[in-house]
Amino acid sequence: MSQILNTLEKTTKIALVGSPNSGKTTLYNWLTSSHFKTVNYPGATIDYAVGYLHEKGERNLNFQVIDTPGIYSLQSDSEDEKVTSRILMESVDMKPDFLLLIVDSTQLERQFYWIKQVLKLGYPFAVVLTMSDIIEKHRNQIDIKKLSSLLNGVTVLKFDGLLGQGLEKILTVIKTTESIQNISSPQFEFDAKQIDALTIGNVSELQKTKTDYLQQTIKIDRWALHPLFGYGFFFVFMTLLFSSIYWAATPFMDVIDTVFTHAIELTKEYIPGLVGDFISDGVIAAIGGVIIFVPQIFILFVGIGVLESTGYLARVAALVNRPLERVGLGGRSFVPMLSGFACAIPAIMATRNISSKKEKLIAQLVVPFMACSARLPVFGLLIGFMFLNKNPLFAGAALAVLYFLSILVGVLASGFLSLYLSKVGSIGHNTLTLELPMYRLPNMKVIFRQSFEKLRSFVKRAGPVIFALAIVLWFATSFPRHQETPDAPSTVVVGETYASQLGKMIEPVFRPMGLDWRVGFGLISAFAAREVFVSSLALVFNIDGDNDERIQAGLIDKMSEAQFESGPMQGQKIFTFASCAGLLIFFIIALQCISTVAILKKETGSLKIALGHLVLSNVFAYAIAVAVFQTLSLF
Amino acid sequence: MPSEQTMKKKLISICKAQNIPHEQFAPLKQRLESLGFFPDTEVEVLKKISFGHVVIVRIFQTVVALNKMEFSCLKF
Repeated sequence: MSQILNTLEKTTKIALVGSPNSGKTTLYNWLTSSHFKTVNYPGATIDYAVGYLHEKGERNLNFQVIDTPGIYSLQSDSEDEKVTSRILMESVDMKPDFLLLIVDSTQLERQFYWIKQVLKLGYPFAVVLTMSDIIEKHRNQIDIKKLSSLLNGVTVLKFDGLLGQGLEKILTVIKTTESIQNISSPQFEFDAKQIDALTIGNVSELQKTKTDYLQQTIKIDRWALHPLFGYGFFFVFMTLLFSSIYWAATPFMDVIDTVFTHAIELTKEYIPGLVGDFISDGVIAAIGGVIIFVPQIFILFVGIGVLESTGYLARVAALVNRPLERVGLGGRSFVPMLSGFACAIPAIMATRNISSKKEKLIAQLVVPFMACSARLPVFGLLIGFMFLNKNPLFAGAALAVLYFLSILVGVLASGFLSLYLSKVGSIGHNTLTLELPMYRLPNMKVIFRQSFEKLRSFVKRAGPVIFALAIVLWFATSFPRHQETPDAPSTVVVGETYASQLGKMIEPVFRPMGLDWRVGFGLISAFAAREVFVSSLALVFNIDGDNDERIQAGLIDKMSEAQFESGPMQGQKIFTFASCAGLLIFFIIALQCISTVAILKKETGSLKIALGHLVLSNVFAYAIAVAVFQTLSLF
Repeated sequence: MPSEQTMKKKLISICKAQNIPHEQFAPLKQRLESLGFFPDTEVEVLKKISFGHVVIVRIFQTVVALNKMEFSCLKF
């Protein structure tokens, strides 16, 4: 223990400080061998990340690297920039010993505002120039010696984020920080001419290239930000994104489906009895029920990644600013809202970029209404059932409609919240001030890697929950069993299992939604994680042990046959167009994910708000789902 | 391709517009300065979008979107 404490005491903390999109997170990933996300939009780092230095695959416990959120200034009102200010000015535990100032070479003139502020704090530092490959591509370079002499001889290094060139020199500087800790920070004033003089080579050619690059961006913006076509493009891109999730994923889902079906068949063949039943009907069916939707989730992550990295997302934020302002949000809320379609947790954290308290609170409360990736398995199953044997384009369109519906719910909720908050007292006006990055071609390799990382974390998060529930559900749906006799193995009677007994007790609550105890059981299990709903259904609808069909197709077959076993609706079909529509509405409105509730509590600083959202959204979702089912049942 | 007339202006100062609360003006001024909005800087007004409520401007080599209230703080 004392050895660990000694190591921690000796650890040198290196903070990476720079403006948004300057390449801090890229360098952090190279230094610590992690794969954090870097985006072309302010706010990639919404909290700081800490990791140990990695060299040749080995962790070096003597050096900790801190990736701070990007700053334009140390006196900012935005939460993410405040994180950096606090680390540099107030923190005791995380107070860095050395700073690496990450400077975007292509934007030198703008970087010195924050650099001057940071240097006044008196930290020892070195400068790392990023994006210098862009400058050098046009036969120019930054005069490193001149820059170093302007900074009292401080080390200035170049780093190429794509290839990792320059990393060795940075590592050498980091490892010799102790010897340069006593260097005095320079007090200096830069003027524009001095900064221009730092560029060696054909400056006019460089300026021309930068201007050409800018003009190209402005030309594209004439279409992308056009008052009419701009919204047209936006609508087309969003529809393409959301509908492609369905049709582009189908071939991959078929492959996964086949693999799991074979796995179940083989398990049953080679492992007979209760153990075989548990592994095939319990574990494999439950995991397969979620894994099958991995392609859809991956496509969603890639789609959002492409929009982000091209620079289009920031444009959309500006484009939709006014419509969002009408409901109490603003352009800065757009990225958290869109991220909400992937996962509400990072999306709620991304609201830290919003400086208006009112807008931030509304955004935090509305994000959970966006149809996150965990809802996709549920949507996929129910839409698959509703549009069985119909053109896949209908199913794709239905999925797009669901996404737009979730946006509509978000708009209505935020309009209501805005009105309510205005009545109880104004808490600030909305702000925008959004930098629109130059258009870039997306680096698909990076996007695929980031999407894969996010997918891995999704599966990692859902996996243990699904596995634990699979055991509980399998037990609940497989016992008690009838005694084994010499003529017959032990069997399960559907209506007598523990799950059935418990479910029948709670069935009256779900009956107004047109659902029986089995679906109600699935809904309750979805509070652990929404995607668990599918695996729960897979388990409760396979309690007769007959699972030769493919997972989803088998489940859909079961769903089409499923009937109420008792009560006033006995003999009626459970899964109809009306009950599925009601269920979909429930999943759009209800806040079920407990992790989201926890992050809401953390970000709003109020347990009352988080629990209030949980209760109100579920009651409201239930009421609307009942209304939808009852109304559609009339036709 | 849609063509547009842009307007280049010299920034004189950043002033508090009437409809901005005092507590919001200081951070706004700071953010604008950190983006390079200093007196004597050339600001090119590129276009108005989002039903005229967002102004797209160029400053140095950077394109920035400002809402109507923020833009009204820039005195030319």
